[in-house]
Formats: sequence, C-alpha cells, structure tokens
Amino acid sequence: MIRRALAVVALLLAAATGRAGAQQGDSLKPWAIPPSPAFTFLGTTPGQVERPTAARSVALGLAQDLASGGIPRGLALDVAPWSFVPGLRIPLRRYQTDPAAYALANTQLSIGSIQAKGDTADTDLALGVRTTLYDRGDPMTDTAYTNAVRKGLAQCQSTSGPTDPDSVIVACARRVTTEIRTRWRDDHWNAASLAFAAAAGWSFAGRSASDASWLGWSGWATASAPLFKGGQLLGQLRYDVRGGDHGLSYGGRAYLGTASTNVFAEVTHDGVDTTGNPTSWAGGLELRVLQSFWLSTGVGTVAPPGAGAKTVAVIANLRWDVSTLPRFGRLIP
Amino acid sequence: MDPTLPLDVSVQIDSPQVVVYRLWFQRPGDTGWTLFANGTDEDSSNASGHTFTVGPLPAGSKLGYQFILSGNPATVYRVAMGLAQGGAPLPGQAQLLEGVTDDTGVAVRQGQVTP
Repeated sequence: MIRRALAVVALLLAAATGRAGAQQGDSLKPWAIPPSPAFTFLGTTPGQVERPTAARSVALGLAQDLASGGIPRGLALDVAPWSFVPGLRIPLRRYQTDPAAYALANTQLSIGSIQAKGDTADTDLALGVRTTLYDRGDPMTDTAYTNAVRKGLAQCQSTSGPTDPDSVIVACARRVTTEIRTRWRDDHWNAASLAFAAAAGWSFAGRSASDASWLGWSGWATASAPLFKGGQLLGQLRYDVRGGDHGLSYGGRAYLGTASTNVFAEVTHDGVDTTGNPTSWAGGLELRVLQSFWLSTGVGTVAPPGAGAKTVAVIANLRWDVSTLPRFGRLIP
Repeated sequence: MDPTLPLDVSVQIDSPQVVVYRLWFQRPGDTGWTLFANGTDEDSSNASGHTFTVGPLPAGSKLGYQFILSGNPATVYRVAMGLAQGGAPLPGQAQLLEGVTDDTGVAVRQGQVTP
C-alpha cells in the first residue's frame, strides 16, 4: 500500500518535472561512467545518436562535412571499433571465454561537436572512449542466461515461412528477453565490475579545422564488488582538466539490500565545483518504486554534487529525493 | 544457380548475441514454404559457419531466412549467409546482415532471395 502511494507521488513529481524519461542522469551523478564520454565532456545530450556499423559510412559522412567547410556541428556518433576491423569476429562463445575479446566488444568510441557555449561562433569537438574490462553483471557472459534466452526465442520463430510481420516477432523476442533478463538481474544486481572512460576536446575558431585550441580532458573509472550476499561496494572517480583548472571527483558507496530496496552509506567529493563544501556524506534508505523511479531519504550533509536538478518531496515528515536513476549509476548493459 | 546440383547454404554468426534462425525454400508453384534448416549461434559461431544442403532446386526457387537475435542493448550484430554449389560460391548471393540491436537488445532480420 505504501509502495503504491509512493509510486503515485513519484509519477506526479515526474510529470511536474516533465523530463524524466529524457534525462541521461549525468547531472545527478557527475562522477559516473557516461554512456558516451564525448557528449558528457561537451555537456550535451543529443536527441539522436548515430550508431553506424560500417566504417565506410562514418568516413564518407565526415569527409563530406569536412569538404563542405570544416568541422561539422551537431555530430553525435557512437561506434564500436571492433566492428570496423575486417575479419574480426567476436561470437558469443568468444565473448564469454576470452577477456580481451570481451573488453574489445565493450569498447565504444564517441564523437560529438556543438556550437561553443556563449556568444561565439566557435565549434567545440570532443572524442571519447569507454570500455568495460570486467562485468559479472553482464548477462551475456553467463551461459545459463544465454541458454535460457536461446530456448525462449525458439517460441518466437515462424512455423510457416518468413512471412510473419517483423513487429510480431520483435514483440515476442522483446518479451522473452526482458522477462529472462529482469529475473537474471535481480539475482546479479551486486556483481563485480570494472570500467574506464576518457574524453578530450578542442575548440575550433568558427568551423575552421586549421585553427584549434585545446579544451582539456576528463577521465572516469568505476569499480564494484559484492558486499556479502545482498550488498555492494561501489567506487567511482572522475578527473577533469579544463584550461588551467583540474580536479578529482569521487563517490564511494556501500549498500545492503536488494536491487530495488537498500540501505546505504556514501561519501562524495566534488573536486571541480569549488562553491560550498566539496565533500559530503550520507546514509539512508533508497527504494525503487517503479522501473525508472527511485526514492531516497536519510541523514547526512547536503545532496551529492551536481544534484541541483533533483526533485524533492516531503512524505511523513521525511525529505525524499526523487530520481529516474539510482543515486549511483551502474554499468550500462 | 545450376538446377541439377544441390545448394549449400552457410550461416556464420560474428557478433556476441544469442541467435536462433530458420531457413526455408519455396519451389515455383509451391503455395507454402518448406523448412530445411533450424539453427542457433551455438552451431554457427566457428570461422567456417554452419552449412546446410538443400535441393537440387528448380530455377526460380526462393530461399527464405529468419534470424532472431538477443544481446545487450544497442550493440553491433553481424550475420553472414552464403550460397554455394559444387564448392564454389554463387556470385552476388552472399547476404551480410548487420546493424545494431534495439534498446531491449533485440534484432530481427528476415527475407527471401532467389538464387
């Protein structure tokens, strides 16, 4: 009953903020590994990210843009470099047994460009890379999971030829995958993982490729490990260099509970934002009331760095922070 | 295609997804499709893929394929399907099915070719 009431409150608050589904969450957890480091470096969230699978299409697109005047604006590319290497194959069995192939398959390059902020015609461009070296929370590494999905997908196959509408088969495959994945995740939510990301950027005068200045770089690292049977230790680092400024931000957290309810203790430090106290701590309770809505409450110093966009509710004399993501992000898959 | 020789259809999975697939043929005048291959990524992940033999089939016959993939969201997939007769690849008949899985990790590719 309480859970349902909280869900209603969360929905109302989400409607009030009007951007719950769209936000990437970087403003909530500036130290977490971003899905696309180049976009995070530029401080942008593109509406649509191109994910080409062929090197040729990427090269042609960029060459055309460059030929027409210089650095293109509005670039938003995410590419998996392994898929560009002729003859390289990473089938599932290799993904599950070869650590180097696993890391390569989970390495992603991102490229982004925007008009520089402020009253200027300059163009900012960033390149980013992100890799997961190890993640026991990736269901595709578990043969029990992949065997279950393989068995489940068999029920989605057509029996009379390739004539069923794609939409019917896709719906069946999504249902099978989501059901099995959700069950699997509930059993592996606190698995160990290790991932890194980095991004670097340049500013170009106007759009001229020949007149560039260095903006800086950012690096991220995330590691997690199980804490007893129902808990997790999570550490996240971010290092930023912008012009002459640099700073280390980090968050460390221990929590006990389940994938949807936990008690937590955390410490965070913002090495970039010099306003106020850069270090904060907190302990409390966090609940997932719906698939994408989290409530958290507790004691400690102020909310973590960068949490200005957070929505707050007061229920039963307790302050509850409402978010579309857990306070600490986990790895992407 | 030589209608006097059997047709070899090879399937090779190059990317880290679970894949189930079926292959059918349809001769001219047939009202339905006849299943001749039912495989998964476990059969077809080695470098030479997995080969199924069908026919001989009369000229104008069609081959139908359906691949259902499930992996991590927004990841690259690549499946290669080749046709050969008498050990020689049929020119222009290789199918490279590639793309990116959707936000649930799913992709479906199906279609038909006339060898």
